[in-house]
Amino acid sequence: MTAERLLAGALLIAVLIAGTAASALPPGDAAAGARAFAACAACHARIAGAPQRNGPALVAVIGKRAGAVDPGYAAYSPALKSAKLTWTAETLDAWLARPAKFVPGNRMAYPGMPDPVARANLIAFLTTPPK
Amino acid sequence: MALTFQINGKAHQVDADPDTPLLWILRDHVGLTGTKFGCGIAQCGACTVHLDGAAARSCQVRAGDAAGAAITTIEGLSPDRSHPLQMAWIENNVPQCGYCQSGMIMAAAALLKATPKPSDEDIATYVDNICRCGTYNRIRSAIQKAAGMVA
Repeated sequence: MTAERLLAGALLIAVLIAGTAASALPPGDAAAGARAFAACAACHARIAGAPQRNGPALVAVIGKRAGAVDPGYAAYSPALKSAKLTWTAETLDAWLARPAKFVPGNRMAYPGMPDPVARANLIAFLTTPPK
Repeated sequence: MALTFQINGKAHQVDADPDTPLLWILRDHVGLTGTKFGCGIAQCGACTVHLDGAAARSCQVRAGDAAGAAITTIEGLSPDRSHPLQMAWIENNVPQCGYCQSGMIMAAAALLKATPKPSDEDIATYVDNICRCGTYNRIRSAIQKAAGMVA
């Protein structure tokens, strides 16, 4: 085996492992997520500058720090603000599954979604920019 | 405004303000009164229905937002009380006043679909509906019994 072949083989394995890790969460259907968001919309707006509701506006969530997604929102819990948490597909999945367990002391009055596919759909929806 | 809803597998056309809570569409416009009003602020769960199979509290779901989803109410869970939860509810003599049971069963049904063998902790987390009569122990045992009924 030449060094070149070994390197190519190692790269292939690395890509496969990285690909598998990235797809550990099921792929999401954003249209299904939009329908699921109907249950969240009472508290969460999807446009910046909307009249304040019970929860923060969720315009662009991915990559933002928890407690900083909506700078105009005044009622973030100290627990969420101090959680040192960045929203990614993985952290959103854990949050949506069991918010009270993921960030104890947070104020989102929601038990969570037990279905991983439903969560993936919602995350896909949250990841697409609102119209 | 004319709105169309898919409820328990059938299309229903309704003339209503899209801001109407789905609960009133179900009860007043369509006549499905199995879903109950308890608090109006999505805290008690009496109004729980399924949107695409996931539990949702219909008192805080805007009708206009729900018009695209497949809605299931307690009436649609089975045609003849043959859903394992309904059978377990009767076997275990669960209801006292009975007011929480529609929402409680719908929340439990959504959980069992996602997690067929839930732990007691899963039940406490995801079926957090309020029962004013306090029959929580029988509710939990009925959910466990229903989970055991499905192979």
